[in-house]
Amino acid sequence: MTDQKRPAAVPARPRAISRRGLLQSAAAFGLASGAGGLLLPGVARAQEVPQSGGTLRAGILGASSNTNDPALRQDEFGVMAAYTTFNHLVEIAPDKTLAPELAESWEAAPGAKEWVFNLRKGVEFHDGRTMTADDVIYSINRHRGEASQSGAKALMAAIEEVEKLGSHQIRIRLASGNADLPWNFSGDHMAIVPDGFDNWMKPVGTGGYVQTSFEPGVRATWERNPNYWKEGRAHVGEVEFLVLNDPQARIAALQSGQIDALGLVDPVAVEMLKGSGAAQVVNSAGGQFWSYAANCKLAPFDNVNVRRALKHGIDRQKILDIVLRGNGRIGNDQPVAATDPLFNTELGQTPYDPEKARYYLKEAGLDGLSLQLDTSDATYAGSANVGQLYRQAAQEAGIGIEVMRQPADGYWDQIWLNPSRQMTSGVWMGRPTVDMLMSTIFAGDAPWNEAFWSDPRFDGILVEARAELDPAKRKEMYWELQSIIHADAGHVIPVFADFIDAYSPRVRGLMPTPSWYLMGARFTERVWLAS
Amino acid sequence: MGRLILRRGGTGGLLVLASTLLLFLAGEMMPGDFASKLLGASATPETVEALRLSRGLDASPAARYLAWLGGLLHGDLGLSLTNGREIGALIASRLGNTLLLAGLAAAVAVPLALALGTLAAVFRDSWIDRAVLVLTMVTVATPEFFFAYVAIAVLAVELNWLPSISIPRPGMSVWEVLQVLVLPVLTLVVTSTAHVARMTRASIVAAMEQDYVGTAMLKGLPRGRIVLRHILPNVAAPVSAVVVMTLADIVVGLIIVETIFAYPGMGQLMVDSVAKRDITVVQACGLIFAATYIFLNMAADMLAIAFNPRLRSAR
Amino acid sequence: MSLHDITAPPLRAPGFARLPVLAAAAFCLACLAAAVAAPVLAPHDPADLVALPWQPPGDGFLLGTDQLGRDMLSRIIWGARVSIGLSAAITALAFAFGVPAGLAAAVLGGWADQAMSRTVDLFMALPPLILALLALSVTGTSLVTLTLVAAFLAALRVFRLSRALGVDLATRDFVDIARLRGEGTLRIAACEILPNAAGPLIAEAGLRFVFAFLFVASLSFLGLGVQPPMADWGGMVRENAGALNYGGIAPLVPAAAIALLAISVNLLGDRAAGGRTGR
Repeated sequence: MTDQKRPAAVPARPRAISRRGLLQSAAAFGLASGAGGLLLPGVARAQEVPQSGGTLRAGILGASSNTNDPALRQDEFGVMAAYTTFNHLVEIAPDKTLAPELAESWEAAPGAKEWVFNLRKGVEFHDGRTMTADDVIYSINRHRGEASQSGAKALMAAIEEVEKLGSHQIRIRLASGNADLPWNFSGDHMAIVPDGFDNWMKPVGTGGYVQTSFEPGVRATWERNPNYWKEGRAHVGEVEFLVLNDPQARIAALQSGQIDALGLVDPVAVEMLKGSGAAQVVNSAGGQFWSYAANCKLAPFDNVNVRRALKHGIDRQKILDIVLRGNGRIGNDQPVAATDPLFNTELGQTPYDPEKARYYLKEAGLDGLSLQLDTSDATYAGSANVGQLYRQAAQEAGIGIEVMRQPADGYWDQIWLNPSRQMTSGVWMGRPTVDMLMSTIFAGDAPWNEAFWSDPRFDGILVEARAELDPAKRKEMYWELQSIIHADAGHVIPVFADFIDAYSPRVRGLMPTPSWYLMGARFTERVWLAS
Repeated sequence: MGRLILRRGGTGGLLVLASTLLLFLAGEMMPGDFASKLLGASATPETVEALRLSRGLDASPAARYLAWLGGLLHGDLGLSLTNGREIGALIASRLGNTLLLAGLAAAVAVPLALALGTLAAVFRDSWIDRAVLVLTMVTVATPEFFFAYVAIAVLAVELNWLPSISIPRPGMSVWEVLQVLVLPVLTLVVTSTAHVARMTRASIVAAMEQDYVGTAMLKGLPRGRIVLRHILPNVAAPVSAVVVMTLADIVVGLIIVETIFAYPGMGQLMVDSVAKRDITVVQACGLIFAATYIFLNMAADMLAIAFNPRLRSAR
Repeated sequence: MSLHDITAPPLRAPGFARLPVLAAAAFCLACLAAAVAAPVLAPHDPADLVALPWQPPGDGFLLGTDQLGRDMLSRIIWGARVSIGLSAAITALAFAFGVPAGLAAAVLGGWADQAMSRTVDLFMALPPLILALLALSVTGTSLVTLTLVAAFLAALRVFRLSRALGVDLATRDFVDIARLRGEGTLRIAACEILPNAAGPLIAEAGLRFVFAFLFVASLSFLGLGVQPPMADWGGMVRENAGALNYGGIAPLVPAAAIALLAISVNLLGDRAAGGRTGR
């Protein structure tokens, strides 16, 4: 019941930031939190000089089964711990571009099948060893091969060979071209660890903090890494994660000043927290969306008109207003966020229109429709209530929805992706690239094709776009893919939900970061504490 | 009496053995498995299989059950499925925490319940009795989680007197640890006292209606002396049962209280592990709960028999 | 535990004590009426959003609105149906199986008693919430599995009590006399023991009813409760608990309903038990 988020979060592709989308993103680096945003004391301002020291305490979702092993990391704890202890080859920078981290530069051969990465020199692990190509190759190969147990196995499957060219240079050969390959190394699974390392109770990385204690499911502590190679990062003296899972207790801990940072804040709490003065709330609009996937292999959902009826039978604005309390944007049944540069701006918004839904049902030869919708707190808190809103709206269109609330444990492996289910709910945190997003959920052979939808034309364009290096052609192809999904796929995507974080008043350096909660999971490295 | 203890001990042992089987079966029947839980939505059939193999789950259920039992005999609780840690080490600190919390709660709740129950019985039908009655009824009818939330909202957030998180840190002084434990102990005490206070009152009232008490009253002995000399010895059996039941109530409350206050104890560990399908940990925790409970029950039974010899022949 | 432990003594001082009992009876009747006539009584559909979330009482919504903006009064009225129905079913099932089994074990004695008692001991050796968590994880949550699991757990306790009562009564003289008269075991259980155990059992029924209520509420806390949009009162407390942090009163309404009903049932149960044993 504590698992409010889906664990497979790779930071979403971040470009623009404003939650009102394209209209405001032109206004450059605006704050996502809307009205109150600029007034927050903690939001980064140029003239302020970061202070060092202090103890940063964060309330984090976790469990006794958590580990520091990036391959098997679980829960919010695993993600946040990964970015605190380790570095990665690349980093999604606060200015939403792909920035070098442990890789200084990279280059693709034409066709994007061969990539060379030049590694940073003089970087020390916490145990004093210097990082070389061997460490990086070990860190990548941990996720590959028969025996791999890693959550990034599918992501790394396209790699055919990782080769050492020099002490600080590697070459990666892919089975097929992928222009977005470097983005794959920004995810938390892909942390760089020393060659041969496997003592996950005492992790060794190159990150800004050295882990000093770890009690799975209870707490973990870090001290600042005195030899940290990055300039102007990791200001805090000590970091402490407290595992807090109960929703009320989490908010109470922040209100009563026992923690400084809290991700995954319930939208209901936003107004109250802002009003109380006890916390700074930061909204980051990004790629997180909720999904209802109708099973396209199952009658009557194999009929596209039925799917269109379902898309017209949902009142998106009401879900945004009531459940998200306005902390997000309405969706348009395609997965690319309005904040993404590849977002198709010419796609018409599907409205809530019961009449139209009835029309489509009639087109499909149906008088009415009744179906079962599976929801679970495993997806997001209150998912069953959102289902109720869908039920209420769809009723007007002659669609009867029976909303089932399935137990959180067992939802992902028993209910979701079960071919006998009519419609399941899900949540996606976004992916660093549009290609990753679509190949994970919408390609015919996608591992998490939750709607069992497949379209050969879609699959063809997707593969073509992946190897395309020309930006204009890429854009054209991705726009086309979005419009296919919008019109045809089994997905109803009601809303994109902001990442909402809250911090105590003494935290400084805050910045909306669209890739994930708590500043794209890099808050420990980026914030400082005012004395 | 010695033979009786032996026999009850033997039954207790058999019960523990039977509960291992029950727990093992429950674990086997639970839908979903730890590997797909662990990998979550990033699971693919191959990674799940690789993970299962690496944890020895390819052996037959019977073989795994026997291996588990064999390990238990040597005091080896096995390894956690999800992170491969020794369950013994995982549980050690948790068990200590839970015993501390339950012990503190019992240390407050038992005397409080006995005192309230005795007071209510001695001053039957007075305002004291009525006040105790109303108090116990209200607390018995309040869900634990609700009381905990109200306590947090008022005592932690509004007044800022006490911490709402009960995670003990290394290096805390005894005083600090106690402070951290106030809210969970309070919740457990409030929700477990009522039931016991009422039963205490009922037993004492029943004892007071016995003839010898009437005789003592007629003799004009002081009330306090009657309670101490004549009544309390006679309610020892039901009261000992009451103490055991309080402990049982506290154990049940632990699961919810530990979850809310993020207290790292056995209840939280068990709920966690069920959710993550870390079956080996679930089984180990369940076994510890079961063994404790079986022991407590045996103790209560033997006390009852010791105080009421007629029961001995009836069994 | 002997038979006297469970029953609270009857309330003395008739003039003063009758009032709470009458109030309790009135409240129970009101809840029962709400449960039966929910479709007529509720001003709104309990699943419909009628206003903004967490509106204070008044302004067309007597008890305010809940976390989604549904009418709290309507949800309390419909919730009565779910809560009372569920608890009543759980209690009835628990007694239907627990009492005969318990008395049979007491009267039969020997290996039959041993077998039954030890089986019950086995299932009672786990904290009920944990057992329910395990069982519902295995079976999945539905109204039926929820009822069966809770009834099973309650039946264990009813068995324990019935057996204890039976054993205690079986050592009494009137049972020995009946035996000497040559009466059969069944007849002794039904005619000699059951009537004498009725008082404590009725009081226990009241307690079990209340515990069933709270148990379902605890399961709601662990996410294993009743399916929305249906809600039992405990689930409503849980759903609205967030309001506490923001100074809202929404969760207090269902919490008060639970407390009042629990107290009322307890009072009536004690009263009935006191009446039966003639005290």
